[in-house]
Amino acid sequence: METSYTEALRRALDEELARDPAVVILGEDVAAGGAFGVTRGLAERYGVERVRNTPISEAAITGLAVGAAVAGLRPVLEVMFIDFITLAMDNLVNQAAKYRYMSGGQLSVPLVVRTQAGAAGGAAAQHSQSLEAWLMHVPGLLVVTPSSPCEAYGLLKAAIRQDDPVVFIEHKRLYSKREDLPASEWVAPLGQARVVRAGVDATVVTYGGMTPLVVDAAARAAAEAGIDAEVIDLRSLVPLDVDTVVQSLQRTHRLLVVHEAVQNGGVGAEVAARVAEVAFDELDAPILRVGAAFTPIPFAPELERAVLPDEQRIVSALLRLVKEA
Amino acid sequence: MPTVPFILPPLGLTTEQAEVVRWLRSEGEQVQEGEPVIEVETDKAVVEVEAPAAGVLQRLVVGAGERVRPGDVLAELGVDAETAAHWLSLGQPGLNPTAAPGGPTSFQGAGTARAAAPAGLVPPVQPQGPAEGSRLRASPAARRLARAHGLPLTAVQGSGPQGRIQLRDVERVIQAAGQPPHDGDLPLVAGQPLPPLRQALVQTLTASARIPQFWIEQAVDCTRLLAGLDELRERWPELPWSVNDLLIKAVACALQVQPRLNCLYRPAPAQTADKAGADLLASPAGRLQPADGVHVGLVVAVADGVVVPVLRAADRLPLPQLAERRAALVQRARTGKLARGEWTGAAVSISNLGATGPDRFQALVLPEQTAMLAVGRIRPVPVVGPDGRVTSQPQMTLTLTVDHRVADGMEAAAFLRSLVEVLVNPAPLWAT
Repeated sequence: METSYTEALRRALDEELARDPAVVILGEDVAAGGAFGVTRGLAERYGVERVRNTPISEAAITGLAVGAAVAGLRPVLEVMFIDFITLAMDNLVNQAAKYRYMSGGQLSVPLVVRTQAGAAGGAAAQHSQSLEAWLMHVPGLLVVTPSSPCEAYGLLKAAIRQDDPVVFIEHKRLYSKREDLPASEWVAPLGQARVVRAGVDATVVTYGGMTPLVVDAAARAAAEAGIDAEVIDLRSLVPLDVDTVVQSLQRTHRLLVVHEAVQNGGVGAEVAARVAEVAFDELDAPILRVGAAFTPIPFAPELERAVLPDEQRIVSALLRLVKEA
Repeated sequence: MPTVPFILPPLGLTTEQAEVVRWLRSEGEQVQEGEPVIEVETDKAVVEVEAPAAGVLQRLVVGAGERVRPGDVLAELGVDAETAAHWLSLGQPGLNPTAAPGGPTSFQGAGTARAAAPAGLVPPVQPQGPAEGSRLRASPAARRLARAHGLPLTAVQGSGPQGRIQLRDVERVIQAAGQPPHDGDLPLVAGQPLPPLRQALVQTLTASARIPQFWIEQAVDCTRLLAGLDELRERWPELPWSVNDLLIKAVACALQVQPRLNCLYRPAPAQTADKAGADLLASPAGRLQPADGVHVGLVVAVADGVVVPVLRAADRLPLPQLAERRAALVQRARTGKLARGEWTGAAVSISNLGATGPDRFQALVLPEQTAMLAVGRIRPVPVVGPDGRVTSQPQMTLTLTVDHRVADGMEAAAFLRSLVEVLVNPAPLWAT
C-alpha cells in the first residue's frame, strides 16, 4: 500500500511503542502530532505519559531525554527543526555522546533525536539548514538520513533499537513522498549503503533529501548524454559505508558526491578523502562535489533556488565528470 | 603557411615497423586534430593514425605498401604559426635541428626522424600541455593499468584535460599492442608469413599453453534449457536469441555462487606483456585479483583467428538486454570494432563451436583468466529412465579447463556443479 514518508515514520513509532514499553516519545506538541504530524494519533493510542508534550526549550528537553535514556527508557525526542539543535548541543555532544565512554561502558544512552533538515521553499536562513556534518564530527553519535518512505520506516526502527544515541535527520521535502512499504515488519541495516540505481560510467554518492533528485538527474543524464551513473544512498553518515562506494568505484572509476548542505567542511569532503585514501588507484578523474553555496539560505524563493543544488546542476556535474574531467 | 612533419607515433610496445595500407585523406585536404588520416598495418593490427594537429596535408611522403617505422615522416602538415611555434617548443622530433624558436618555420625532417626515435615517444602535441620537463599528468587508474602491463606512460598520449592520460588512453595502447580489432579478410596461404592476427594469437596461445591447467567434464540435460529458449524466442521474436545467452547467464550465476573462480591471475608486475608467457616458469608467484564484476568472455571466430569480447556485468543484465548486447558485441568483434574495455576483465570465457561442432572438446585457458568452458553440440542421447524405458534426451557436454594455480579440483567441480544445476533447471536465469 502506498504510504507517505510521514505515515511510514508513524508506523515505525507505532510498532516500536507497541513492541517495547520502554519506548517513549518526547517533544514540543508531539501529543498533538508534532511539527509535521508524524506523531499524530499516537498519544490517543499510548497515552500522554508515553507520548509526552514538553516545554519549548531544546536544551532542557534534550537533557530530559538523555537522563531518561540513561535511566532505562528508550526516548524518541522530536526537535522541530535541525536549526534548533544548536540549543541542544551541550546535552548531545558533551553528555549523550560521551556517557558510554566516560563510564567505562557502564552507561548507555539509547536515545533517538528525530529532527528534520533542508530547504523546502521560503523557510529562510534559520529554518532551512542542513547541519549533519557537525553531528557526524562527534564520536559517539550515530547520524541517520532516510531518503524515502521505506527507508524512513526501516531506519527509524533500527535507530530506536540502537543502544547509542542516534540523530535521525528527516527532510522537509520528503514528508509527502509516497511509496509501497513492506507488508511485514522490516528493520533496515544500519551502516550499509544502498545502490539505488546501477550504472557503469560514474558513481554518485548522496543521502537523505537529495536522493530522489539525484536519481532523476541520473535518468536525465542517461537519456540526454548516454551517461549511465550508479547512484548510492549512504543511508547513514555514522556509520559510513565506504566499502560500497569503493566497490562501485572499481567499476566506474569516477566519483561525484551530492548533498544539500554547503560544500565547505561537508560530508562530501569526508567521503572524498576516505575514497582517496583507500582507493586512489581506482580514480580516473578528480572527485567532484555538488552542494549548496557557502551562504545562509535566502528567504526569496528565486535566491533559494540559486544557492541549492538542483537536477540541472547535478546533470552538469555528471557531464563534467565523465566527459571533461 | 609553416609546415611541420607528421610523424608515425609509437604503435605499441613491441612494434618496430608497419606497412602503409592507405591514406584516408588526400594531399591538399584539410584535416582536424585527432582525425584518422592514414591506415598502417603492424604485425598485430591495422591501426588508424590520427593527425597530431589541425592543418592541411601539404605533401604525402609515404605511399601504400611502403614500410615505415615509428618516428618516420608520413606527410608534411601545413599548420598555423602558433601551432608551429608550440610544436617547436616541445622539441618535437623530426624538426630541423638547426631550427630555433622564432627561426625558420618550414622543416624537412625525414632524415633526422629516426635518429630522434626515443624522444618520439613523447606525444607530439598536447593541448595546453605542461611545459617541457614538467610532471607527466596521468590519472591514478591509468597509472595502475599501465604499470600492470609494464607500459611506460611516455608511450601513451593523454586525451584528458591538459593532456592528462586517462584509462581509455592506456586501454587504447594496450589494444593496439595486444588484441587486434582486425577487419582483414586475408586467407591463410602456405609459405606466406602469418597474418597479423595469427601472429598475435601465437603469442597469446603459447602463453596459454604454459598455464598449468586441468580439465573436468559433465553432460547436461538440455530439455528445459531448449524449452526456455523457445519461450524466449516466442516472447521476444525480434531478439537474436542464442543458446550462448543462456550459457553466459548461467556462468554468471555460477560465478556468483562460486566466487573463487571469478579471479584474474596477474603475473609479477615487472613483466612486460610480451614476456609474460616466458616468465611464467621463471616467476610463478603472480597475484590473484578478484574480478571487478561478473564478466563473461565469449570466443568469436573471425577471418584469421579468434577474438574474445567480454560481456560485462552479465549477472546484472536481464536476458533480453543480455541477448542484445551479446549480438552487438559479437558483431563488433567480427568487424574489428570492439571498443575500449570490451576484451578485458573476464575470469571465465565460453567457447561454443555450435550446432555442427564436435560432441565435446577441450580449450585452453586464456592468460590472466581462470577458466575456459568448452561447449559441445547439443545432441540426442538415449537415457534409461527409472522405469527401465529408454528415451531420447537432448544433452550437451561441458568441458571446463581451469588454471590450477588459481583453483583446485574441488572448487572447479563445485563451480561446474552449480553451472550444470542452473542449466538443467534454468528458471533462475529468468529472475534477473
